[in-house]
Amino acid sequence: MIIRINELSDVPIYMQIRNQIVMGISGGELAAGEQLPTVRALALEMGINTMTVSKAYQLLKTEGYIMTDRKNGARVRMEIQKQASIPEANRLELKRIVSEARISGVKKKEILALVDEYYGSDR
Amino acid sequence: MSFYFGLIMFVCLVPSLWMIYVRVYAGKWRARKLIFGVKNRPEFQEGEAAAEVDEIVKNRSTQALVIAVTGTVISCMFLLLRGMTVQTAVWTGFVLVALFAMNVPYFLGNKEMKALKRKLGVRGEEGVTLVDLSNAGAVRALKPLQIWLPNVIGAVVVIFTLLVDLKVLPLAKHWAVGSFLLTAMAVTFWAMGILMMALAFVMDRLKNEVISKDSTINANYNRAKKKNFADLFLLFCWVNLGFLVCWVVSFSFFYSDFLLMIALMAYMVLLLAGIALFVLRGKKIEARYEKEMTILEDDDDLWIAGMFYYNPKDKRLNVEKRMGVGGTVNVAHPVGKLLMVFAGLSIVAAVACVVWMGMMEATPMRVCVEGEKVICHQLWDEYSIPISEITEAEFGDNLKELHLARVSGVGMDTMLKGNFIVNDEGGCKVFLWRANQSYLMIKTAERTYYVNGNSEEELSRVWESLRQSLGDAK
Repeated sequence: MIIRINELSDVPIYMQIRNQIVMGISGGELAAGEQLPTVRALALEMGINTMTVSKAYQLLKTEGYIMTDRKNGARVRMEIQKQASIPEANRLELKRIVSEARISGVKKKEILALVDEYYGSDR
Repeated sequence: MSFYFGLIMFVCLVPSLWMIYVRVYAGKWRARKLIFGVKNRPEFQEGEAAAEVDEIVKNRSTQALVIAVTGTVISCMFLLLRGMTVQTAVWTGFVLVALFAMNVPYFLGNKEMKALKRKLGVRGEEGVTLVDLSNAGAVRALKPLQIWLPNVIGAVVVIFTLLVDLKVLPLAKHWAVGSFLLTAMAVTFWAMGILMMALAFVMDRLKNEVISKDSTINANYNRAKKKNFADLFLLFCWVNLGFLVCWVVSFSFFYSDFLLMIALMAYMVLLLAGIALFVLRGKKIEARYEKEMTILEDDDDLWIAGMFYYNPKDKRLNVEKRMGVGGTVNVAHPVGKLLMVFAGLSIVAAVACVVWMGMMEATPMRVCVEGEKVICHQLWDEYSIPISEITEAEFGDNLKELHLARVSGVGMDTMLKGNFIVNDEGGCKVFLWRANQSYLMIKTAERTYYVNGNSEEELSRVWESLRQSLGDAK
């Protein structure tokens, strides 16, 4: 899985790492139980501070996407808790994206097609 | 001796010029990953842009070819030079000039390629870094045991030389045993092996390049490149050990300057052959993965003149070179800045050293009696021997009879100055002009001096004056 970090983005780097790992899990690029690189190795590879990677891993762990232990490092959770609801913050983000799309003349069909593409129509 | 020095410089410089030519300028640009330090993009491959790239590459490659040929011809002519100082001065200056000149077409080509990119409106995403999560920290090609082995053997050889110099092992019969010359040389070569090993580990831990969405392709590509580096450094370590062993054996049992020079030349040839092999293998790897390269990170603007990596946002110190072999440093990193200053100072020091050697040869060594002292003077060095402290003095007329091993000071083809072991006697002060076969051996209670200076007449006058003074005293 390729992670794309933009140093000039307004989104903090730890959040970019977190978001892309979540997208990787959702898209199947990261399988359940898959080993993630160590904090040090990923920081060295990205040329960023280890604290930044550590913060991203901590957040992913708190949110229940990954598990960490001293012996095995970080892994994608075998069973990710299914809450079956969209958190309020994400709901607002989605609303903002849809609103901006509507103002700029994007058709509802096009938005739904994108949702289908990202969600996976067979799921 | 100076001919062999010239030959070594020739063997180092000429293949280096041609290797730069082959690696950077020769071959079809369409198959290259980088064109003068700018990534080869699909936008360059067609229409007017392709014609412009053709023109840039043709012009700059022709210039580089002319420089390489000129450099080779001038190097051949320099083989006819005689005199160590002249050779050192000429070769040092010429190596710096030739290597810089060889890079000039590259710098100009880089500027033109960046201008073409701007003209075509190709703008990469600034500040974007790609990382293959599956390969981060996982792609390694260096086997630690393999690279440790020659250096561990090297350490054993160093211990052996130390024991020989301490005369614990009475194996070697050489007159310089005890001067720690053997140990110093062994430590120097062993330290070079250790440096190679450190570099091997650094290159093995470089960031993995992302060339495809497929992690397996990325892993294989990076592993192949790292294996190439690992093999190169492994070869360096074994060749280094080979030379170290040859030198120690030669020094201990049948010391010969000629053999040493031959071994040194073989050492340089093997190292250059290793680099040539590395360059060819690198080209093969790039050709093999050319079609798999679907992702192109655009970091061209982070490379000043396509050679110096400057990225203040990158915390890494080491990155792979865009031109040449091995890695380079991020100049924006504090340690990178220090290393660049150090590299600049090294060049200045090399030039200063040549000037200093020239001054040493050009300034006469003078020995005279002033007041009640024998004075030896050249440049800022002065030995002053009070005649009242002299216990014994002798006039010698064959300098070649003396076995001289330098402990500290200057040892040149033309002169010797400083602390030496002379005929197995340690702690002697030497002030000798080699062309003058006469010399004075002067003993005081504290140490022994061997002095002559440029002029035989002046030395005879000093000897007469000294003999009178010592005779009067008696």
